[in-house]
Amino acid sequence: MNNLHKKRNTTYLLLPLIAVLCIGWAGSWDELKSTAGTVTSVKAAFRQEKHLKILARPLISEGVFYYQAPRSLRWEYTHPVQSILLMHDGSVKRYVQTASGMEMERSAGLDAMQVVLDEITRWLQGRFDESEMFAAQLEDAGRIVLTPKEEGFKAIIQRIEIHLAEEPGMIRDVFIFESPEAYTHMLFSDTALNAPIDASIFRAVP
Amino acid sequence: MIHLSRLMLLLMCLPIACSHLPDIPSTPPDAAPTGSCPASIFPQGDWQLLHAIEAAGPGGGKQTLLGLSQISSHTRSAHCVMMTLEGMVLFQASFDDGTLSVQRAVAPFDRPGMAEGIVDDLRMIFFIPDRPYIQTGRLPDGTRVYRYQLLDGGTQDIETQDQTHWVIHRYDRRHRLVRTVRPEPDQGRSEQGMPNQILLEAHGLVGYQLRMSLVEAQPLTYQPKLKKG
Repeated sequence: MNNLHKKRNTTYLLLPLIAVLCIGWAGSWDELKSTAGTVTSVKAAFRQEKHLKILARPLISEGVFYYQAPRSLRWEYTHPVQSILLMHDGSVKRYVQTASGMEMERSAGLDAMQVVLDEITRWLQGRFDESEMFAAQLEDAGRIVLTPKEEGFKAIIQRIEIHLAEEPGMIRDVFIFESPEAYTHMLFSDTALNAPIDASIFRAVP
Repeated sequence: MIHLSRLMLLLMCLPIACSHLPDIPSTPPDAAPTGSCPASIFPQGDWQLLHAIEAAGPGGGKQTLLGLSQISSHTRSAHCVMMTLEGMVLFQASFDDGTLSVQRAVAPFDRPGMAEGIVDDLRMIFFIPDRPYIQTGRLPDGTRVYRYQLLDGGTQDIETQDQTHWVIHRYDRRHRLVRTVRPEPDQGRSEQGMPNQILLEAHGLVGYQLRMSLVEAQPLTYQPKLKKG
């Protein structure tokens, strides 16, 4: 397995981030690309439900994310474990709450973020059909279905479904199907598009 | 580059540096520990536990994962799921009556022996050994110790002072210390009486450390998913 292949296989760790950034509303790819091009920043709260067959109730995580074009992202979980992923100026950092406070963490998954960033950039421009990792299908009722192109990747992620909201530029929710017994449902609220976001949000951890 | 003689010296010193199985001093009958076993330090009944697991490897790198465990002290069965903080499942397995079943294992959890190692660590943390202790007594500092012989020829010592101060040592068949599990007393205990933080250390050249912080503990009122289909 070459390095590129390894990197691709580790990027699935951050797929929820990629999926949520597929902002836009459209009845066609061209319309989607046109709408996506007008978005310069996003701020939204999210609720993440992890569904597993063994669970009577899903595991709930909550947080907030910020995006600023072209390549700045802050993905922050506030519950149940506080963690912050910062992507800015080509660097990727993750901070996790520990007994001694927020600590920066290094992991192999973060090394693969350059690949993810390229993918995010492509998708933000609505160029799903140019993705190297996923085959994209735009279906009725504002539903985008992303399917991994590589068989090995399909063993990790079966498909991603993005449901666009009625309002242009917004998404309602995202489903990430890992297996028939495991999927993640992400719901978004308090979405603000193109509002100014202080640059320190992407650099600093309180 | 390490000089050959230094490497030889290092290798010669390694066994000396490793901890070995201690002798349990003979104890006068009136000073011997009472009670059948230190079962009270392990969760009793059926529980669903969610831990934030900070894993540190020999290279110093750290990664935090979410660990979901459904355990039953009655059936000595468990179902465990390891996820990224983003919720992606990396590892999912169950064991029941000694049988391990892996439902999902993606890198780095797909390495040979990894699933068995994870389950073995979980069993050590959550379950008392499934056979009676072979020796008991007190260490020189007064700590009670219960010694168990394991099926693989190893030995497990459970040393207890009280509910918040205890330590589990596991030794291999050559009596070398391979695992240590202990709660962090200063982190306290949950409402359900479980340690808020448990530290597992795997000793040796490729040792690692798992710091498990309890996020949530829920009693399970149902059983079927812990049992074989």
